[in-house]
Amino acid sequence: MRNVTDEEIDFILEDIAKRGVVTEDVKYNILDHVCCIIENEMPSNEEFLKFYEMTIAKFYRENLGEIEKETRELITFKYYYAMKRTLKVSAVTSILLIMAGVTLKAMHWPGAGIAVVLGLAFFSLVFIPLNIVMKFRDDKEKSNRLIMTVGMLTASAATIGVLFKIMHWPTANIIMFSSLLVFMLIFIPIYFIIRFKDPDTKFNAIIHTTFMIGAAGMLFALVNLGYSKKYMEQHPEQFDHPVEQMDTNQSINH
Amino acid sequence: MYSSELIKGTLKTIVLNLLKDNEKMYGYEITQKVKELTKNKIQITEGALYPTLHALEKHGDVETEKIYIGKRVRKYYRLTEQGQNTVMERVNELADFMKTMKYLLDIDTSIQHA
Repeated sequence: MRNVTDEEIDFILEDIAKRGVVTEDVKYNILDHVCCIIENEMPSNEEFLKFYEMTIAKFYRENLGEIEKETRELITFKYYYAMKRTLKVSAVTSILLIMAGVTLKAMHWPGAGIAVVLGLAFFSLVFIPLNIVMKFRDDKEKSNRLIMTVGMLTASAATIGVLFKIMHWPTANIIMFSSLLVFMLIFIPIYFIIRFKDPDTKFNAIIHTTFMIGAAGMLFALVNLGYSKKYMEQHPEQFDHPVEQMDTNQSINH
Repeated sequence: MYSSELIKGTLKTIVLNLLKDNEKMYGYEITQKVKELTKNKIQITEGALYPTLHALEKHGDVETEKIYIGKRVRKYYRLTEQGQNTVMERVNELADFMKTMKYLLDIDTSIQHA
């Protein structure tokens, strides 16, 4: 057994850097590996340079840079973790903002509008889209990807609809109405069929579908789908049996 | 010596399982151990080993410890708690896969029995 000298270490480090390995960790791993081979396997009558060339050649197919490239490809997953963190942060932020918003709104305290708008915007424009991206990475199954994307997009649209409605912005009804329709008539049935077929997800399919129909149904019931009072007054001929208007502001009138 | 395609798909499992049985190991030690255990039938190439180790580290399955030896740095790899679970999953999956392959590739004999 022979020890690798400091000069030889410098030489090896420089050489592997020249061959395209720049990541510090990878470089030192290769260095240690080469040194171990030299120390344990080099015959005493062999020349260092010749043995080194022979050893390093065994590390790759075409050039040493392959190791660096391969490592990078495997490590690009780090963005995955960054995204996961962002997802968690956006989830907590939107929950806190929405909770603060509805509390302020219920109490008629100032700042309600801002908190609700930010919370719902965060939820529909950051949290949900990130969920779609993550789903694409995690799930290679095409049908799963498609169904989750459709579901998330309609959920996002419905949230925006709710936001518009709360803020009394125009087009709220049409956004909410259409997204809820897509959600209930397209997404939920497809979701149920796909998940129910798979024995693993059969039970969950029933539970999830019930929850979704319940939630979407309640939201749907809250959207005022009737014609507006103004429209009915302008087109009385269309309403032979006048719809009874419910006075929702009774307490205020008395 | 098996083809590199065969080894590539099982490398993570091999490395993780070795780390389960040995508290901490460094790269060269891993290649030697595999060589020794398989009587030279499986030789892990450096080009495949290090990217895998780095990926395992990033995923949190292994943690590292650096030991300075003169001008050199030796990186020891050790299983994390998450890694312990990953080993079990991976080994079970591979065992199941082997059973399936055996069945799949032995189709001729099973037809004779049928």
